[in-house]
Amino acid sequence: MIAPAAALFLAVGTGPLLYALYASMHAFPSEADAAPEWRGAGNFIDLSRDPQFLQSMGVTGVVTVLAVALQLGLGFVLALALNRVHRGRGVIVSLLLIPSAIAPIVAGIAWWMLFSARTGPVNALLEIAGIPSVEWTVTMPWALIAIVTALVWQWTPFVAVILLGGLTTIPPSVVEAARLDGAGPWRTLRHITLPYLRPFFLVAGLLMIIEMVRLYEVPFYLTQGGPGNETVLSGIYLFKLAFNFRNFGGASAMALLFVIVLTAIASLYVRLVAGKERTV
Amino acid sequence: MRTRGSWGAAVVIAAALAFALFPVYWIVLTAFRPRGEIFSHPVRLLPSGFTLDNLKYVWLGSGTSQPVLPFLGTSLLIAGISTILATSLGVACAYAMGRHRAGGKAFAMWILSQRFLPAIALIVPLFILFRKFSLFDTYTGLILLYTTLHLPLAVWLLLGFVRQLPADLEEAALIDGASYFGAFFRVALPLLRPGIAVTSIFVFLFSWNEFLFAYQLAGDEVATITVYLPRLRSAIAELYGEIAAAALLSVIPGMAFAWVMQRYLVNGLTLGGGKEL
Amino acid sequence: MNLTRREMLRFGTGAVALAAGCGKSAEAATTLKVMSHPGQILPILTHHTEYLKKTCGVSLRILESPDPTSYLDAVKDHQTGGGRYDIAMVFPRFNGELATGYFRPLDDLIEKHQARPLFDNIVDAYRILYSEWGGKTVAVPVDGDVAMLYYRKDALENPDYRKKYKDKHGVELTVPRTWEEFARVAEFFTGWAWGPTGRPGFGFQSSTWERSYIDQQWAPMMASAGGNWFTRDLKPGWNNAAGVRALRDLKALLAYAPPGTTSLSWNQTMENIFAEDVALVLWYMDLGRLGMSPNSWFAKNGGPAKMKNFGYSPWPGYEISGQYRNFNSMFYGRVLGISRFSKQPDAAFQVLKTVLTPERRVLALDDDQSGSDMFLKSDYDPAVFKKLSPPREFLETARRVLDNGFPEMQLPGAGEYLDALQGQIHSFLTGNESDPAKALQAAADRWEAITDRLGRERQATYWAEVTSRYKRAGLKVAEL
Repeated sequence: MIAPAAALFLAVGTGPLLYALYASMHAFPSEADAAPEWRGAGNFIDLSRDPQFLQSMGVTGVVTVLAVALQLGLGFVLALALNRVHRGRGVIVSLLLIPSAIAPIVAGIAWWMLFSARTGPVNALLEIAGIPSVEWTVTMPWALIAIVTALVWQWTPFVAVILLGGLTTIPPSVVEAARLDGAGPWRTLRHITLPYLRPFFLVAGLLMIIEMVRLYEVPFYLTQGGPGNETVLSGIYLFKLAFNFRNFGGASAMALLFVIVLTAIASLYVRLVAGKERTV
Repeated sequence: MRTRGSWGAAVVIAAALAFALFPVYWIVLTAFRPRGEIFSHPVRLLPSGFTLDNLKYVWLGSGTSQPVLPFLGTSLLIAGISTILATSLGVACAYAMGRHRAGGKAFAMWILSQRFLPAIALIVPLFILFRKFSLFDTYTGLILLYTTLHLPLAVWLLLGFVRQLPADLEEAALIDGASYFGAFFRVALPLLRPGIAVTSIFVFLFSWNEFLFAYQLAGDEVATITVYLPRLRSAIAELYGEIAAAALLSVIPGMAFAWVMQRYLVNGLTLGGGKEL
Repeated sequence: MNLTRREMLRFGTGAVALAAGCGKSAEAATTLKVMSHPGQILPILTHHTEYLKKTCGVSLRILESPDPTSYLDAVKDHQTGGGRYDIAMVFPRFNGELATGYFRPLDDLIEKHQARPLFDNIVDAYRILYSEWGGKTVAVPVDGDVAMLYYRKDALENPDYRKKYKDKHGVELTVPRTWEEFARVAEFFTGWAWGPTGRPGFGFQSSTWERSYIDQQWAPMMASAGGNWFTRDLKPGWNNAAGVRALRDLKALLAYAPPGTTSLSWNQTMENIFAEDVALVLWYMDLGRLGMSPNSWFAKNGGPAKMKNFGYSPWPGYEISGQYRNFNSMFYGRVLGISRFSKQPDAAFQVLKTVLTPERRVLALDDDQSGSDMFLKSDYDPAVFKKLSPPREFLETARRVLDNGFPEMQLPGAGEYLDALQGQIHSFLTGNESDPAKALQAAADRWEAITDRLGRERQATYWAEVTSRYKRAGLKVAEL
């Protein structure tokens, strides 16, 4: 029963990962049939000295933290609001989920149009509100903010729905008991709602972190990595290394670093949120 | 206090809807806007001019763009088959793991760790692998890839559903003389319908929207809708009307699924996802 | 400089005779896979699909690939053992990348199919600089991009404005010959309503400031200031006063361009130059060739009426220590090459021959939906145009600016080299990096790393061959 799944994982999951390990320690000359040359830790050392690599890791970190924090925070607020609505919830939720159902490449191109300096509605709306307009895609920090906005747009409803599911697991009796005890809305939130939602925050947060790290289409089509190289996120740089610069060894090394860093972040996050809570 | 809370909720939801739908509105607007109006300054926030030309060029093709239907078809085929495969393998796997602890903890950890693998990290080895096994630019290649990429998610979701299922009904069936597979097929599977629905929606959408692998590991014989879109944006011709029209067409399955999704998602993720990692 | 009618006829008939030879060598119906840039470039090939099928039995299966990354698809084809394409279209900046292993040398096919006159009919600059590599012919140009200065006559030749300018600066208002003059003229025409729109006008606009294309504006300025792509020992040839000067002057010019210019895409800057009054426009050939047409992509902002106001001139240059150098951007353009893995090189060559045949070529040239600009000697004769009406003056200037076209960086690794440069140039122009020298130094460091990785000796040999061709084409690029 599990054999076919296991076979697939081996072939298309773990296998290639092991190959990436191998590739990360070699250099691949440009002739297609030439054998890879051993470099040991050479690729990793090159990466550590590559200012673009370091910069892309940095900006990815910033975007991930900002985007995930906003997605979780705003998602939570949205979930609470949705929890209060009963009529038409179905329609509302399905409308809200449309951004998550749209391909990231469409989102990237669409938001590029929206953030267009002279011809985009974002600046037009800002002007109506009396706020000076911004050249979004070619100035920092606005390019970053534009990317984060697109990401928040795309995933917050999704997070909200996960958290909404969590809210529906809270037994109404518990809430009722708290109310009878005189607990105000804030205390209920802190001592009942949040603890119940912990595992859901866990799930949503992890899903989002993984998604943010692998980003390619949205930043690429929104800012093309600009201004300069400021928004060349790690997904973009990995792809560039591998296929624009034909540095398979370097790209594999970067891929491995991805996996390591991601695992570390994930375990950190789990410990943070799951904390002292025993597994439910 | 009740009313204030409800008003607050209404405001939040209205704001969320506006934010979520404004870009969609813009895509629709652009899709039906004449080329001359698309990048106008000052910006025309409200509909101005109306044309079906963009849709026409994209549907029928023109001197400067290929018809979109074959690409939609390719996407449908690949996403559809990947969904069927991933869901079937996933449910079999999840059932075995959930009911009988097949593979033990080690296997569970292995599968679930695959969830933390950002697929892009595999793009170089997969490129070389595809080259070696002539999977480049084939349906088989992409379908295999997508199935495997989404299998951990499928297993994870379905595992939650399986664990929620009380075992009594199956036990009763077994006592009545049904075979193991019989119990699985005829008793458990129908009860797992919500789980299967949720899973297939996820897998379908993620496969349909995937770009990077579809672009790098295929693109000529096997070209999906996501690969079609950037071709409308070349150095000279930035056919944004056409892009918007094509994007609209490509989003329809997604929106249809979102509608179905919402009914199952809230319940589904509660039952399935929340307690597991 | 113009081809006489008789010469053109001679080429024409000669070519027709050659083309007729297609029927003889045609195998039973074959299908070729041709990778092409999408959109307005497709007409370069689609004009000949019927013809090729009828006369040569060759069917074309056109596979689209976005312009800036089409070379990656060719590279991918190479890396996966070939077979995806028979013919590939790329920007000539990637000629070096592809000639070293993917493009099939064409000289034997040229001899076999007696196509030498067709190749000789290619304008010298394109033939020498964009179709040759390492002493062999490897590619065929199909679109000749070179930029010129389009200046508004209603601005520069207006007697009132001329007087005002002379009063202000003490010199005559002339079409700028140096970048300093250019800046002065641009500054003069920025901020007041000198033109028919009645809105305050601007002094300057260039074709694009997008990160992936920004080098096309800076590089010719850098070369005019005495720089080059590389020195003889493969150090960057622009990490010096020439590069910094070009970068600084370019940034200063931004002040005279419409607002938000750095975030505009190609199409959007195109709207600018007609929607607004812009006195000095640096643009490619399509503006002059198509501007007069009522149906082109320039038309919606009042193309033909406003086109009459444009005069044509080469780009300005720099006069340094008594030596004047000016270069026009000869970036982009498109070339077709045959994959060395193609099993039908002869059939593929028929396609190339057809594209080069003057009477067939003219179909894609004289088409207001086609982005293919002049590259054959016979393309510059106004009589060739039946549907479009590019002014004679434009065609003459177009032919002239080619003599000073600064070509692309073509060494293997071009994609990576240019990405490094583009990032830093863009960073400086958008104000992200305030020190031009630092920006260029960062790019130079990366260039050195790339050169080391690709093999300094080998790259130096390639560069020596490239510079020999610069000399043959008569370019007065500084030898560093």
